[in-house]
Formats: sequence, C-alpha cells, structure tokens
Amino acid sequence: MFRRYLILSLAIGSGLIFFACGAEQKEAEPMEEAAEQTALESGIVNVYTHRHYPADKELYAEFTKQTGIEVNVVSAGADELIKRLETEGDKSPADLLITVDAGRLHRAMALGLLQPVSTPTLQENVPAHLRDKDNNWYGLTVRARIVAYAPDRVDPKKLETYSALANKEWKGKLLVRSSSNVYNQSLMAAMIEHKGADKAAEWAKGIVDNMARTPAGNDRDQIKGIAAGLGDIAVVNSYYYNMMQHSDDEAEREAASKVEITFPHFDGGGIHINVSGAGVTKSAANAENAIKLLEFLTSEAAQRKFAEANFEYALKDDIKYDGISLGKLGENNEKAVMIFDQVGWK
Amino acid sequence: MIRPGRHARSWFVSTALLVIAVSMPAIYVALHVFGGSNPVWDHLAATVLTDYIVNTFILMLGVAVLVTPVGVLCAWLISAYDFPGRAWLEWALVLPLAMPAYITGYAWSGIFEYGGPVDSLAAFLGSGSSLGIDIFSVYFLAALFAFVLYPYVYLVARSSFARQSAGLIEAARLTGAGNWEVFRRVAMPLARPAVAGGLALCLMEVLNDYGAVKYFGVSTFTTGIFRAWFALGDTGAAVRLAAVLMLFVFVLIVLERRGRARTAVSSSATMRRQTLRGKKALLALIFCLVPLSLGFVFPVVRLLTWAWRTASDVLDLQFVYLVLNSFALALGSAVLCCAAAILVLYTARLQRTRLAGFLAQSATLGYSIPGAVIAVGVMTPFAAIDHGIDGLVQSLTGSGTGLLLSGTLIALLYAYLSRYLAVAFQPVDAGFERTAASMDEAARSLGASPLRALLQINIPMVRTAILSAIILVFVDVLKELPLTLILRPFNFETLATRAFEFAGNEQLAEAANPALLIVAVGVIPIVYLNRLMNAKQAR
Repeated sequence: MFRRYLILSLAIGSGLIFFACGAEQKEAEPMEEAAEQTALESGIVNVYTHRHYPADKELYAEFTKQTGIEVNVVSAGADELIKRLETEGDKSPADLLITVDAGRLHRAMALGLLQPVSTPTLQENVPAHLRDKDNNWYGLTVRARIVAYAPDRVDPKKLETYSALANKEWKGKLLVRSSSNVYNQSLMAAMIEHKGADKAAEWAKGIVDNMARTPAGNDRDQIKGIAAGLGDIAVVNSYYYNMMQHSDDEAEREAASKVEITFPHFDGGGIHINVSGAGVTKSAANAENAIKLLEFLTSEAAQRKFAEANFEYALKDDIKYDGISLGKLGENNEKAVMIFDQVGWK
Repeated sequence: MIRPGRHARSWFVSTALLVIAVSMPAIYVALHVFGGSNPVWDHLAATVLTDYIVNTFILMLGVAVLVTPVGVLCAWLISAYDFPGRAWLEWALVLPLAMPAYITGYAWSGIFEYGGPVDSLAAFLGSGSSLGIDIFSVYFLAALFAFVLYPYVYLVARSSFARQSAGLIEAARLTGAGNWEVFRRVAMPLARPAVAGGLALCLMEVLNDYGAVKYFGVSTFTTGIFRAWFALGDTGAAVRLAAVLMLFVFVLIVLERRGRARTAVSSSATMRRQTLRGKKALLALIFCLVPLSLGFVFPVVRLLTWAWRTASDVLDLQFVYLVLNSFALALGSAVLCCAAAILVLYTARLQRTRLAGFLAQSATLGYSIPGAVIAVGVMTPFAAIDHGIDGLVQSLTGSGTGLLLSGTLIALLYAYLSRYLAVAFQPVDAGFERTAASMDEAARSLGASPLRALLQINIPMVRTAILSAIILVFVDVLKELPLTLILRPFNFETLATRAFEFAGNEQLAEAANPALLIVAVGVIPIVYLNRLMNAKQAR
C-alpha cells in the first residue's frame, strides 16, 4: 500500500518534471523556429539585462507594439551575464547586453563580446561623451553619484568637492556602501583618472578613516542612516534620493525630508557621472532588431519615461560632468578594487 | 552477506556516472586549485584574506553556538513535554526554513530602519528622536542566520528523539532518572550524530550565502570569490578561494561522519510526554516562541506591512504564472535530487566499499560552493558540449544547431542537482542507516533483484525520510537565486527572481510581495511534512 503510494508520488513527481520541461520545450521550439526566421523577417530580439525596472518592461512592451518585434529577456547581474555571454561564445542567443555601469560595458567590449554599430539616429540620440568612441556601446540613462547630508548639522559649502569628503572634520560621520558596489568602484576609477593612483589611494584612506560604520546596506540605507543620526554625510546615487522623496511610504518620505543633496565636483572639474547602457553582442543573430531597440530606448519618448519613472537623467540633460571618457571607468576598475582592498574599504 | 553480483555492478556504474556528472562543477573548481602564484591571489592574501577568514569563522561559530542549543532544546521540549501551544509549535518551529536568508536580512533592517517599527515604538514610548540602532554587524548577521537556519537542527533532533531514542528514553525514565538527566545522558548523546548532520547543513548554508553577507557588508569567502572572479577578472584566484571553502566543508562532513559511526539504534517505542503546568509550561512556551518570532513572525509581519502598501501596484495575473513556475520547478528538482540520492546511497549500501562511500561523499560537495560559481561550473561544460554538437552537425549538414542545452531548463535542473543533492542526501542517508541492512539482504537472498529490494523493502521503510528530503530540497530550490538567475531561459521567471529584481532596484517594499509568496508556497509542504512525521509516530 505504502509502496504503491510512494511509487505513485514518484511517478507524479517525475511526470511533473517532464511536464515542466515539455511545456518549456514546446514554448521554446516555436521561439527557436522564430529565431531562424528572424534572420529574414525580423521577429525577435534577445536581451541580457541588468536593468530590471518596471519602466524598462513597459518600454519593451511599447517597442513590441510599435514594431512587432518581440523582446525576450534574461535579467541578472551584469557580471554574471557577461560570464554567460563569454561562455556561450559565438553561438550565444543574446543580441543586446544592458548594464547599469559603463565599466561593465567596457569590460564586455574588452573581452570581445560586443560589436560596433552606428546609425545616424543613435549618433543623434546619444551625445558623444555618453557612448564608446568606437560605437561598441551606447548610454541609455545618466546617473550622478553625489553627496547627501543632514542640513541641520552640515554646511554644504564644505562639501563642494569629492576630495573634501576625506577631510578630517568628517571623522566618524560618513556613510557609504561596500566597495563591492560597482557605483563606488566607478567613482574610485574616476578619482584615479583625475588624480592618479597614489592621490586616489590617499583619498580612499581618508574616506575609510571618516566612516561612521563598516560599509553596509544599499544607497537608501545610507540616506536613512543620516535621518537616524548614524552619520552626517553619505555618498549615494541621486535618483535614490528622488525616489525616496516620492515614495508612497511615509517613513521614507520623512527620512528624505531630513536630508538634502549637493553635487560635488572633482576640484574644478564636473560631477562624477555614470551611465546605464547597452551594446550589441558580437554573436547577435538579430543585430538589426537590437539596433532598433537601442534607437527606441534612446529616443525622446523613452528617455522621458526613464526620467519620470526612475528619476534618472536623460541622455540630453545638461549636466556639468567631469569630462573624462566613461571607458576609463572600466579601464581603471581593477586598480580601483585593489586600492579599496589596500586601504581597507570593506 | 550477499556477494555483490552482476546487478550490483550495474548499480555501481550508473552511480559512478551520476556522481561524476553531478560533481563536474566541483571538479571544475578543484582543477583550478593548482595554478601557480598569481598577482590577484597575492593581492588578496596580502590585503583582505585574513578579514574573509575571520568573518567566515565568526559567522560559523556564532551560528553553531546558537543553532545547536536552540534547535535541540526546542526539539526536546516538543518531544518530551506537553504544554499549551505545543501542538502548533511543533510545526510552526519549522517555518523559518521557508524564509530566504537575504529576505530576512532586508526585513530586519526594515524593522530597525529610520521610521520603522522599533523607532515608532520608541517614539510612542516617548523617546522623541530616532534610536539610530545599526544592525549591520557580523554578530547580528550570525544571529540572523541562526534564527533562520535552526529548523535544520530542530527537525533532525526531533525525529531522533521520536524514533531512535524513544525506547531508551523510556527505559531511562523507568530507572527514575529525572527529565534533565534523561536528556543529558541518554537523549542528547543518541541524537548527537543527527544534530551534527543538521548543523553541517546550517554551516554550509552560511558558507555559500551571498545575498545576506553582501547586504550586511560582511566580507566572507563568497565576497572574495565574487571580487576575484568578477571585479578583478581572475578565475584562478576566485576558484582557489572556492577550493579553500570546499576544504572547510570537507572537514565538516568528516566530523559529521565520525559522529555518526557510533550509532545504530532504532526503536519502535514512542515517548510519553509529561504534562507541564503553570510557570514551567509558560517558560517552555516562551522558549519556543523566541526563535520562531525572530526567525519568522517579526520578519514576516514587516514584509506584510510592506506588501500591504505595494500589493496593488505589484501583484497582477502574472503572479499566478510565477507561483506555478516556481512550484513546478522546485518540485521537479526535489524529486530529481531525491531519486539521485537514493541511487547513490543504495549503491553504497550494496557495495559497502570505500570507493562507493567516497563516491557518495563527493556527490555532496556542490552544496558548499556558492551558487554563482556552480553556475559557471555548469555553463562551461554545457557550452563545450553544445559547441561540439554544433560543430559536428555543421560539418555534416552545413548548418549548425546553435546552443541546444545552454540556457534551457535542463541546464538549470542539472545545476540544482549538483547543488542540492547534499540536502536530499542527509535525511535519506540517515533513514537508510536506521533500517537494518539485514532486511534487504534477506530479501535478496530470497532471489529479489537489488531494484526490487530497493522498491519493496528499502524505500517503504524510509519513506518518511524520502519525503522529508523532497520537501527540504523543494523549499531550498524555491528560495534559490544565483543559479536560477543566471542559467534560466529567456522570459523564464520565478518568485525568487522577481523578488531579486525589486530588491536590486532597492524597492524592498515591492520585493515583499514575491518574498511572501515564496514563504506561502514553502509553508504548505512544511506543514505537510510535519503531519507525515506525526502520523508515523502515532502508528
């Protein structure tokens, strides 16, 4: 009796597996057929993305509506996606790689995973400093890494430069997330570009000495940390602050109301900016469609959507940026991480 | 004893093949250990390695020190006493298993955050301003892990008290020994090997966690592996770190084995429960409520308050698909892992050779390796096979096949198998050990084939163990993130990947919706598991 019961449940279980696989196969097959056809008829575009905002999904749906091209998505961290792309090699089904940081795009390019593409629309939509000089990748949205502070305890005039963050007066007052975070890595990479590795290391050491706590949490946690009095200043991406201001959580809005932001510069240079961006893969079987999607995402309407839904800056917003080539963020990334380890930025 | 015959050999061969296939990712990791010195490794060794080791050690020690008494004592209270609330605590104590550790981390940070419940309470009580409690520390994280993971110990200890040692406990009671005396001198020593097994699972979970340690800013081996691999682009250094991690786990497994060798008691007696009253009953109730509240109730309530606010924006029809997807995937891989565990362990039983035992052990190594590393260990061979087939077909027919296996559910299921075989292993192994080998030898001496002996004698005898194995893997896969995330096919989403997407956008309140659904889907089999264990005891 029990034996029968067990065998039955095993049978049902394995049946379910096959059902699950079978169902997936069935779904997959027409897709593959479609993929075969697309070379002729342009039906799909396969995207590996690190951007998984609801706004992005809505934009894909809009793109499909306008063009009839179906957007297939795998979303995961950029590092893992690049690894997957690398492993799959020239047979990878992915057509477009989207990351949230120019450094990662640069790495994908350096690994030979992207191909240069150029159209008049793309050249028009994406300003030169927000794309790769050889057109391997294009920026989609712009982000600024800036400083949040407690207006009741801090005079923003003392926070006009990134260098000032390392001043002794902030000892025990600075909040920042872990050095594993790519936004910090890129900020450091920019610092290296501006000041050289030695000066940048000195700066990072100063930051570590000023930390109010061992780096932890995400950017919003740093802002809440200021509101809670754990620290007085924090390094964050600007849109998180804006999102908190417009949060439907009263506590988040209140936290944001106790904090203000200021836009520091690199000693006379501009603000540290980064982009989320995209590149067409070398293996792309649907490169044409990938380009169409790129053009769509950089178009005026999509840009407005990014800015409204996520508070990111549009490509054409006039930001006084620091003037370095975004590719440098990728080139200096490894050096940046090593300096973090050396100075003890956890 | 029956000589291993023709049958046994085919069992051995299929097991060997399975084990080799399953340990491929681990082998891939191990192969990279012997690289020469390289700059990234030297850099890590000179700067952060000590930090990784110290943090990993603190976490493991903290978890072990908390999880063992909490798990064992709760199990003892539930098994040996009757007190108000016991009946539902019996299953409720398992609930934290349904919580992914990183989600619990988010929830606890939400409890202590600015304007969160603790702050509001303080304001209500008149403290005025925010308390500014900072929970991001390695000690808090160790406690958090402990209260999420203690059910592993609780489950095995309870089943040990209920079955293995009940007869001896009753006998000890007859000699007039007090309950504490019985616990200390009879029940605990008998349960020790099982507890060691549960503890080993807890510690492996701690070792391979990435989400929670990252959020808490506690650098462990996993942090280092990711840093070396991705940020510094050095596979060799990353994999060498993973290998050191595997060494940790190997030591754990050996310790656990050594503890187990001594016991082989099984009993059909059931333990009588003593009724507690008054203060003692209250104390027992409170003792059990503490881990349940910290590991489950408080974080879930926090998630609920978030979900309450965001559900209308987030929940849509697609969530039905997410639930079904997650459920089918978790159940399928659970059955697969369990079948594989039975195959491997039964072969070890048929063969009783060192080699078979060694094979059985190697099959479980994958559990120690962080998911993202396994993922690469899975992608690499699959891509190689795919490229091979593609090349071959191309040369024969002139048009290639593309990638056949990479990015399909088959690759994902295979990855789960590599990773979670160890989870299915523990209960099935313990179950097999409880049943006398003489039974199935008797069956086979009467002419039954090993397969028949397995299906008719062994599996029915350990069916509870098998179902526990299925459920444990089910819950683990339901929560699983890194493998699912990176190996999944296009447009394939689960509750866990959806929770990740929101959490990645720092939209924790929105992430609470899929997270709660994970818990809800996980709770059902957990409650069922408990029913099953009780039914067994009652008979």
